[in-house]
Amino acid sequence: MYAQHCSRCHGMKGGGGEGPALNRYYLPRASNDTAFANIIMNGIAGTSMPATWALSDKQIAQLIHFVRGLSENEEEEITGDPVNGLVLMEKSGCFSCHVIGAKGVSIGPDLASIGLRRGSAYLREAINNPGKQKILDENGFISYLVVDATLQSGKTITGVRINEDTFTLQMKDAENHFYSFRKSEVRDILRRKEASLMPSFSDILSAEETEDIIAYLMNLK
Amino acid sequence: MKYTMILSLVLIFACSSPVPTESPAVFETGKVPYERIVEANQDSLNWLTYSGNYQSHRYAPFAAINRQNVSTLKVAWVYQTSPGLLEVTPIVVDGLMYITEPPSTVTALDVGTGRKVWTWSPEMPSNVKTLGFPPANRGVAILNQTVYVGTLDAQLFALDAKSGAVRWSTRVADNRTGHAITTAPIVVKDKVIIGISGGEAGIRGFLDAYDSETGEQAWRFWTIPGEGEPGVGTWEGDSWKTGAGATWVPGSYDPELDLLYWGVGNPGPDWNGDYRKGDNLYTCSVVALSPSTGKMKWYFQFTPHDLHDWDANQTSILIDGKFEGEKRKMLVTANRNAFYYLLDRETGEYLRAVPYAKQTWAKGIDKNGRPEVLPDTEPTEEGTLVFPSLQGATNWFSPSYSRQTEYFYVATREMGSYYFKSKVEYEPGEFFLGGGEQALQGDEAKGHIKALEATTGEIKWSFDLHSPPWAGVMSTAGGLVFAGTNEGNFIALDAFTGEALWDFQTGGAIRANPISYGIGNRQYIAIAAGNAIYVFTTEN
Repeated sequence: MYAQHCSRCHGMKGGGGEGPALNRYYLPRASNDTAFANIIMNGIAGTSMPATWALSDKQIAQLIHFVRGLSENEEEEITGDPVNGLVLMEKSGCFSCHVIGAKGVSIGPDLASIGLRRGSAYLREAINNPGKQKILDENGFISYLVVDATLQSGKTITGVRINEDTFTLQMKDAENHFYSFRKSEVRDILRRKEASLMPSFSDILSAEETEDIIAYLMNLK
Repeated sequence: MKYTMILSLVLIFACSSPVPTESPAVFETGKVPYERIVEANQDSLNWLTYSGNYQSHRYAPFAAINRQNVSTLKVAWVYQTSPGLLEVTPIVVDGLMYITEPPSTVTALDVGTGRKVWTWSPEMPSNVKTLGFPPANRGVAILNQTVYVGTLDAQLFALDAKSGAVRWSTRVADNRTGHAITTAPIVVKDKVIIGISGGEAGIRGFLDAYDSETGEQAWRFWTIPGEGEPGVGTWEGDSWKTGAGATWVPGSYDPELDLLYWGVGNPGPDWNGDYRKGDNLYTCSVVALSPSTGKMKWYFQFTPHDLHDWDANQTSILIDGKFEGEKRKMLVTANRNAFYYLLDRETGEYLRAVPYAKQTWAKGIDKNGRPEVLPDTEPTEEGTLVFPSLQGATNWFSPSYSRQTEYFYVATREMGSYYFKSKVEYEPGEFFLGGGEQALQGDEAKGHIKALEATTGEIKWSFDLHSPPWAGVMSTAGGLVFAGTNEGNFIALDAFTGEALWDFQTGGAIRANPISYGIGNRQYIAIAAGNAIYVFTTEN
């Protein structure tokens, strides 16, 4: 069913194509199965997602189960102490770049409901080797791509890409300052696909402390 | 009112622009007889057929907007459409612009203000099938005082051009089997020619002609030959019955040779060729037909036994010029398989093919026009990486030929795909794919607007886009090429050099073709973007 109905746009393994990737922990338009079934049956207005009225309710349920299974969300026992995890996050400066509800600054990804969208293995890697795992947006572009924009004056601004088109680039730096450039007015734009503005915490936090933070984050659902 | 005012206005331009505009014939206002479409090359004020003229040049013979003043281009008006994907090429006739809105609504707008004059919507079943494509419509055709539109549920309607009243309607095919219409029709003499979608549903493809006055079917050309017909032997067993070969992009027409040229789609199932051994005629081909009878004069197959969904549903452009020193009537096309082809359009003789975008599937094209396919490029269960992607090096969106620069302009997609193969069984009205694909999009993919010397295929310039585009191009006598991007940029390039001279952020993805028209001495450029029609002009 998936191969016949979905793979043409979403890719055989859910990696996306004409349509967005489905091998994600969190599908924003299909946060619950009722919403998911509605999308499969009726499509999404204003997008290429067509209605698929010919599937039975049972088939739709099977399809949803299959798609949910495409994510690499590995079930893993959470061993850390979530209460200490929050304390460690505050102490380590996580909230100078991340938002969780009323707390924090929005330079890096919003961590509210992160436990719904990512697995613990992903979070562990993100803390120890930030930049190694890429989050792609619905068009396949790297989210939080690190960009060095060198101005005509020679000054270089380093930050994350917010948006880009053929003529312009929008970005923000580590101080959360917003910039918008005409590409023709910038001397050079360097895209660093392997980099992250976030430092690695592998030498700062012990393995135990990292697990405490993961325990806290995985509780955010 | 007669059309006499055009002549004097065009003469003013002839003095002020580097390229003199030809003088148009005189036709009665508001009427579009066949002869007027034949002479569309000389009409700078109207856009009478999908690609601007029968030869599909998508070239505006109007230089009021040009390389010198394009930087002052401003929005004249915007019309907001119904929600959905907008892929329409507007038609403009004597003060009215005819557009389609998703899924199959026709609306007439005042060309000066964008205000609605009339609108018509067909009844559309809520369970309409669109297997393998979005519920879009690419526009209408006009003949005399009647507007023709195909609907998503595979009907053809004839509407009164002044009011939108239905003159007649006919059912082209059954939507329950996956047949649908997204293409604009083309009118030739007294016939309406309409193609069909459904190449991912295992239909048996065809091209239809209907009497423009009565709606009676004049002929049907099956793109897949049937029992006992020449070519059926290129399909193993009964596989021709579900052979696909859709005709979902408007064709071109040569009034002198009286031949209609139409691209034919991919074979079905798309990615598993085991079910359909053989060359699979006439899929992935261009066919030359008599518009009076639908009889085929010649065909040329670009991709025999296609395994990557590289249909030939691209716009073929008809040009006259010298090929290797000899005068030829040619058909040129940038095929989805990443090769640019030159054919003799009288005979179908293969002249040349050169790659115009990244491809990893063929060593080249041999002297007979057959691709020399590289090993290990077939879809597999594990996935095979091949360039171009399923979406092709280009796709349905239109190329353009400038009669000023003699370049062929094309929006190109440089993106690879992993192609997968799987088992499939045909069921009427269901997908018939036999596999899937995973495209390398995002930061891994590239888009370009390229200028090719039309008679050689030599790339003269290339302009980088942020992502592989879904919008067509139009060239103008003002030395410009207009193009659009997924990110909403509408762009004017120097047709000679490819330099960007102007750009505008429309705020919505552009997945349509630009057109040009005029009111008096003022030129307008129109493009569908997001859920709106944008119209631009300069201060004269």
